[in-house]
Amino acid sequence: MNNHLDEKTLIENAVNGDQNAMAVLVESHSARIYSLAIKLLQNEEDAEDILQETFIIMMKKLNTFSGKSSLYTWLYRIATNLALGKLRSKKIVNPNDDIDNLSESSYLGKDIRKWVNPMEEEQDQSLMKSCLEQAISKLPDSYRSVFIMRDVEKNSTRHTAEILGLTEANVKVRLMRARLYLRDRLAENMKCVDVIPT
Amino acid sequence: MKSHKHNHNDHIIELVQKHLGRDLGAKAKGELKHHIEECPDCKVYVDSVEETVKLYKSIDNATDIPSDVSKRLFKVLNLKKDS
Repeated sequence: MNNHLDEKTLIENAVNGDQNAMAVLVESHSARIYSLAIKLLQNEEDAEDILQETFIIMMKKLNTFSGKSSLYTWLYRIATNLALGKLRSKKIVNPNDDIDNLSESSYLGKDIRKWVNPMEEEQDQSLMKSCLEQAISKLPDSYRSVFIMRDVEKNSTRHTAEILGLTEANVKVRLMRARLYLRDRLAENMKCVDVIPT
Repeated sequence: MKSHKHNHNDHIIELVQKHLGRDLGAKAKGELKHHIEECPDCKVYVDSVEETVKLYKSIDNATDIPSDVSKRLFKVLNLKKDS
């Protein structure tokens, strides 16, 4: 029955103590929050911690939810902040610092190659997946979070900057570097063809 | 492969980055489109970055939450699952 109520009503009912309504809200959003945590943390155990902490906070603070944004956006912000806090507390040091050397002009003057789409070429998709996952996992956390929030989750630059506590300019630079880094790592495993005439 | 050098001013580089970030207005889109038509480097760059994002999304199946993770979540929250 609760499953057919709109979210606003579910929230009102949950705030008023309806445990079934609360359960429906948790059920509705838990997969997306878990998926987000996995992407940011690259670790199932840590992601589960964030999942649980996010919904514990939801249950405690739902009465303060203003409804100006969607509930998912509100949960998203909580989960992202918790995940970033966990990353900071672990002080994970990523030895891969070459990304910091990428600049806007990194793609200029390099060998420029056109990719052949691996899907169209029927290359081993699982290999491509593995390559990309490896590249993502090697991205420094501060870059991975920007890439995921901007390009995958489609947050605006301003929203991403607000959540991550960065300037918009900083978000743009990190996004550009993350894209270049992933593109270059992926390109190493792509079948490439030259397009610039020699 | 010949190294392809060309002169990009900061304005064009910013247009490319904005395009990739979907932050480009209609007028600027036209300007970038015109540039890309004449610049194979930028075309390949834009295409390859877009392909990277597309590929990531294609393999990024919305992770189904494992049933044991979901059960533990409901237990921690002291809620009844499927209620």
